[in-house]
Amino acid sequence: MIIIRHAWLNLKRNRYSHLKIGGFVLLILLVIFSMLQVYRIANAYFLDYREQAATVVKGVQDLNQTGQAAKLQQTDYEKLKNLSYVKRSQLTGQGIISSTLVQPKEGKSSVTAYSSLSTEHLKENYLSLTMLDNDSLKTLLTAKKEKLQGKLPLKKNTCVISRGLAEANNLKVNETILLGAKGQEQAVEIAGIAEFSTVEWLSSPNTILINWDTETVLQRNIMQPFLNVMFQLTSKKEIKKFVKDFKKMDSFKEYSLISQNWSQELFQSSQDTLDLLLNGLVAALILGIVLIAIVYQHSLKQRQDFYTLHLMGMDRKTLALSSSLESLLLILGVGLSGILISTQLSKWIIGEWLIKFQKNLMEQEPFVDWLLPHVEQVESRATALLLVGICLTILLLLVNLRIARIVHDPLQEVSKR
Amino acid sequence: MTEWVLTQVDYHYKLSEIKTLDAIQGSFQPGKSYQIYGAPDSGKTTLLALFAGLITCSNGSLTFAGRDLTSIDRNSYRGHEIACLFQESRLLKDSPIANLEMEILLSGEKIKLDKLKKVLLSVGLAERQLTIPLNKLTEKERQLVALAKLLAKQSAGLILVDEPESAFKECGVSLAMGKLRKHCLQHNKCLIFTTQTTQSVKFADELWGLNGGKLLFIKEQSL
Repeated sequence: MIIIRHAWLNLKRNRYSHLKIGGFVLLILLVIFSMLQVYRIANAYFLDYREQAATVVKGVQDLNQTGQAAKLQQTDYEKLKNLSYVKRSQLTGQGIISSTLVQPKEGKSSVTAYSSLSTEHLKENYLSLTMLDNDSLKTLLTAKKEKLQGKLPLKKNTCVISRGLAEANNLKVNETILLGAKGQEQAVEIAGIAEFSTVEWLSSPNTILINWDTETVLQRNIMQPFLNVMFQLTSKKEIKKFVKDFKKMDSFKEYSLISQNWSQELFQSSQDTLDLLLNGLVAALILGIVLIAIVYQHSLKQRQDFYTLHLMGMDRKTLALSSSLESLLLILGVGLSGILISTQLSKWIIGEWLIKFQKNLMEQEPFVDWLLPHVEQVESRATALLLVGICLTILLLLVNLRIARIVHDPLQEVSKR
Repeated sequence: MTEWVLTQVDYHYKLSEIKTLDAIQGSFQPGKSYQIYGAPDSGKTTLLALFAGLITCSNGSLTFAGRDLTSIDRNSYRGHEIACLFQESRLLKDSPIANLEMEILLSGEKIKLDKLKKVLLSVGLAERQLTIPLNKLTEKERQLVALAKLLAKQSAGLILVDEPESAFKECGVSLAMGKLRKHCLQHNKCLIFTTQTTQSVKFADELWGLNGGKLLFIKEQSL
């Protein structure tokens, strides 16, 4: 009880200097804890996303010697899609089609992606055409529902066109357009008009979106069709099995599989930022601990009460224990406040960053089922508590050394004054 | 008998071969006051530190009531038997009353707030000054608190004051030393103070000198 009483009296007596020291330590701990939590959370997020990205396999069509792609059997794609370990899939086709429609004047040309077109072709009206399976069409267009006017092009002979193309040709929903070369035109109904925000993924902002049923009708008129597939598996372990199953399919014999590389650029820039943060964290940690030790040592030298209490008859044990308890209470208060405040602070700091990263992922790969990572805070709190423990150890060491010095050599203290 | 006896006491610092105190002898009785006169660095503070039990003799012995200080719990001895003031006023960063409370608490006595207040008022502090922090008091008032601390400790048989000319410079050396001497006579306590001047000589029953590590009895005076 006497120890607690003296510790409390010490705290009360030195409240102003403790306030200053506590504020300084809190500031340093806030910086370190916030950096630590930002690093931990961001690292866990990116690791989780990297794991998710590792379950995605893409198949890209190899062109044959004549530059034409082999015909894809829809049934082969369906078989792969229905495999138990396939979580999501996407079949995309891109091509160009002749049309009487006028290209929007502003914006990129619809045929920029087809640099192999002859100048003769360019003089005619060619439009970019994107074929998607129904599920992917739903994902692409319903995720941005506010930007779609009308319905999804799920029925045969329907399409969705861009707002730019609709305005350039004065077209409205439910009207019919003619696609295909002269004499072979096919009438296609405009089911909806959309403003595409995922232009990074689409070949052109003015592309016409159709499903594979409509593609069978327009097949003869589609020039330079180019297909690719994407499969998201339930686990990374299933990749080997999937590769075997994929290669078995006749339709995919001319396809090359790519895994992970597609996301490397995005993850690499985040990894670079994380590495930078880690270096900063290590530097802040070392500097912080040194600064705390220097400032606390200085404040201990300014304190006269250890010597005064010793003169009054307080023994070394009581002095050391009560002062240690005082330091413990101080650092616990500051440390816990630091952990609580930095948790909120780091959430605020990291929020913007992760939202931006997630948006980039969604825009780049809208058909992958990105799950929001669940990050446990326990681990970073344990590390923060470890840091509080290190600070406490340093403080206890300094305070006990100071007391030992006073008790061991009291005349030094007398001659100082 | 309760007295402090120095027998062939030597003291030298750890890494020094020069003796600060060299085979000194003396006997100090309760109810009397002693002035130890000496030049700077003559070992006056070291001698007081020996009496306070802060340090121990390198050779010889210092006994209190027949017991060698090296053989007793010196912290408890200092807390109970000694009231000391080394050079500048040493007070805790608290109110005057809290300072006195702590002094009494560590002496093991029962704290009587009324008595402590009386002591503080008797040295010249005002009622409203008793509970305000020391940093809001003047240097003179802080010196009065230090004086009150010496007077408040009933259990202390020995009062040690290092350089009263400096410790009570603002509040008045005569006033402080007069009160201390009167208090010691009334309560049969021993007062030992060290000086470099003769300013406080009238408050000492015995004059001693410290020079070259030797403690010499100069004279006894009747006041």
